[in-house]
Amino acid sequence: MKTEIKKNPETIRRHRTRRPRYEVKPCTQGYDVLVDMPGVNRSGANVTLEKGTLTIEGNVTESVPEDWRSLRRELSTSDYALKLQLNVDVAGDAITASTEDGVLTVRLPIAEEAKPRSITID
Amino acid sequence: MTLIRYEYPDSSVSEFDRMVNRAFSNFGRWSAFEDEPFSGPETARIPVDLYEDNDCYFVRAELPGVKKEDIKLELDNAVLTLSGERKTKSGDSEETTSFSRSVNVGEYVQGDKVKAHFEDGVLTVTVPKSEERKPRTIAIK
Repeated sequence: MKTEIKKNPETIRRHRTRRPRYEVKPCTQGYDVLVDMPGVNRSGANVTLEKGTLTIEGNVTESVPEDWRSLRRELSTSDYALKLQLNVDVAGDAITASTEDGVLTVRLPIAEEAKPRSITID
Repeated sequence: MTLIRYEYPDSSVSEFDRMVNRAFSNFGRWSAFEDEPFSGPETARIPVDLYEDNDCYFVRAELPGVKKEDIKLELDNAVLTLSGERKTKSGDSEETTSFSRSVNVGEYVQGDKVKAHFEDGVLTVTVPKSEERKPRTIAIK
């Protein structure tokens, strides 16, 4: 699939993003996408849906003391970016998202017209 | 539903470091050993940051989806151990993933003044240095 890279100044500045671990679970209305983004609070998370592509971005808010020295670094401090191509029709207006303990949960309700329906036989 | 195991990005840590860490994690905590005889390969070793300023050492770990009450912190002499489990609900069943990590913070710390803060899935442990270890300015007479 051909993807178009938009020249967003924000992405040029932060060219190193990491892809978070995520999980998709079915729920009663549709699907829940659970994204692990530790260090991202409510205001730092951004969810957009455009033409069947769900984009999830998370800006890490790091708070370190002023004159700190690093002794051992194993964690990445880069921001998160995740793009998911949806293959079901999602009710775009009804998408909800919440964060808890560094996990962002995006609830994607399936659009009415895409739901399975039973057909009565005359 | 399949459980996707998180691949921890610990490629920066050498095999030697891993061995040292494992050796330290069992060193001097035989009492804990009796409590958890099967903490074997099922326990994930989590990556941490260790940094300091003039007054404190800081240990930071990313623990997304872990509840505050499921985190256990232990300071035994010079070794700080973070452990606990992440519980994920899938339908009616509940899956738990255990994690553990030991970090050597040195002996010159005030063990009774250790503080921990957990926010947005990031745990920060503050270990104050003991007075004799802090840098001091010496006045020239």
